Amino acid sequence: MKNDFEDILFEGYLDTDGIESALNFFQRQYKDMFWKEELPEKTHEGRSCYLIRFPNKNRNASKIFGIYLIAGVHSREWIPPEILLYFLYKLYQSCNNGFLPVNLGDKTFSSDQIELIYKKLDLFVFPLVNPDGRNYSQTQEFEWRKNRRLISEGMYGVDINRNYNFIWDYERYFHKKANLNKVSNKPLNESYRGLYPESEPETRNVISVFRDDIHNICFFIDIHSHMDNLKTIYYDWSVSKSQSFDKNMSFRNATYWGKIGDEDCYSEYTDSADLALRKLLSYKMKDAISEVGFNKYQSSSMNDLYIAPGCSRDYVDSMNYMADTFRKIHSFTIECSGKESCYQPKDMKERKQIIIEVTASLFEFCYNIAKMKYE
Amino acid sequence: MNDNKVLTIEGSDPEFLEKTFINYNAKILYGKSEIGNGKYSYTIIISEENEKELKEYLNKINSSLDLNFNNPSSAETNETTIKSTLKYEDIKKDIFNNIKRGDRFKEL
Repeated sequence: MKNDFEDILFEGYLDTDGIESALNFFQRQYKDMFWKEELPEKTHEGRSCYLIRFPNKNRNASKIFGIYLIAGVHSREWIPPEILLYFLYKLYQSCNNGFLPVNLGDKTFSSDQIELIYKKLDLFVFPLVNPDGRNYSQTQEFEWRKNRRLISEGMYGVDINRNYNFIWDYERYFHKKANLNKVSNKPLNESYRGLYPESEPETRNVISVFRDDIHNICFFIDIHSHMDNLKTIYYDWSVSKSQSFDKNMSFRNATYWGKIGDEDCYSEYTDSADLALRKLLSYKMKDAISEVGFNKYQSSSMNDLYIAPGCSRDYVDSMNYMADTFRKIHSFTIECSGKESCYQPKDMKERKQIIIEVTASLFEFCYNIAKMKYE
Repeated sequence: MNDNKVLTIEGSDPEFLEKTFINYNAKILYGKSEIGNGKYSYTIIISEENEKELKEYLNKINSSLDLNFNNPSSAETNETTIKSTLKYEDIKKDIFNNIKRGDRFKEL
């Protein structure tokens, strides 16, 4: 009989019941630290979605960085939600036992490092954004990417990661030269953006967490997996290359609408200090993964991957340039992958390595933010 | 979905192949995998109807390569080949075997 969380997790992919079962285990085992809250909207198939708050809700968090981690946006990417469960497990297990060191492959996080994370951060973890999609992908079409919105008879699904309200109406913003083959206004396409921005309950659930001021979220990571051998931490815009010399060259400036995506005349503004911090954090994360001893990751601008209008990373970054911005939020996307060039590696050893190494990158990310001075 | 075909396709130009897959509404299941000699392998899902059209298109492209008599070996090098046709249900069964379903942590 399997009697350990890790044995069970590493035995095989979890379905939606398995993910709920893991959360219930945390609730039983770590009740002083565990806090689960139901997000405002149910999915199209009536499923509830849950946000986990660490350590719990019982402290005044106004001077503490909030870090928001999400996964399970794309149905067929089965590993990312399991990474967040493992991350939570290692965190709970350490903190519940006097800040035991956390060993991840050859990488160890010391007691002091874990204690700092515990004392200096508030973590908000949304492990499964799209439970309907995961269920469908694990019972019907394993290659399914979108949610399960019924669009018309026999036609389903919106790509949640093209549904955020940032350059959602890409026809208006992009130059005709731009390569826009990873977004679509056609419902049958697997990157269908939806009927209007934030049309999907799953998208609105993700956003609702930012909108609660008490959460004080300053850092955000959306974890995905990719079939190609990408293994990358993305820290900068997807819609365009970036620059830090001309604040006016920005998505907000109507002069440039219709020119985004034309590399000869447009690159998106990013504050240079913000960019430096994001690069530094992404380097730390990829170095931590190397130290685990399985695979190497790289860090890069998301535009090197493809243009993804309406994606979460850019949407969160865009909030920094809005008139009512009151705090900076630094956003990242992780694309993890194995050697098999598919979304669901069949080799469970490979799956385990991916879970462990990306978990190490999350601990490293948190530790480096915990060391920063809150201003 | 059960009428869909699963094809393994090899070729030397990933950009061409990926655009072709989009044009014929095929989803990539595995790939791209480097298989040596500058070639890449993809496994795709495609409807029965689109499979016929895709095969015709690839035949047309492959036969046009034969016209390149300045470089006789180019036809063989650049040819896109369909290596195998698999059953979607078999692949699905194989992948679903790795899911451990249900209330997994209840005994802990």
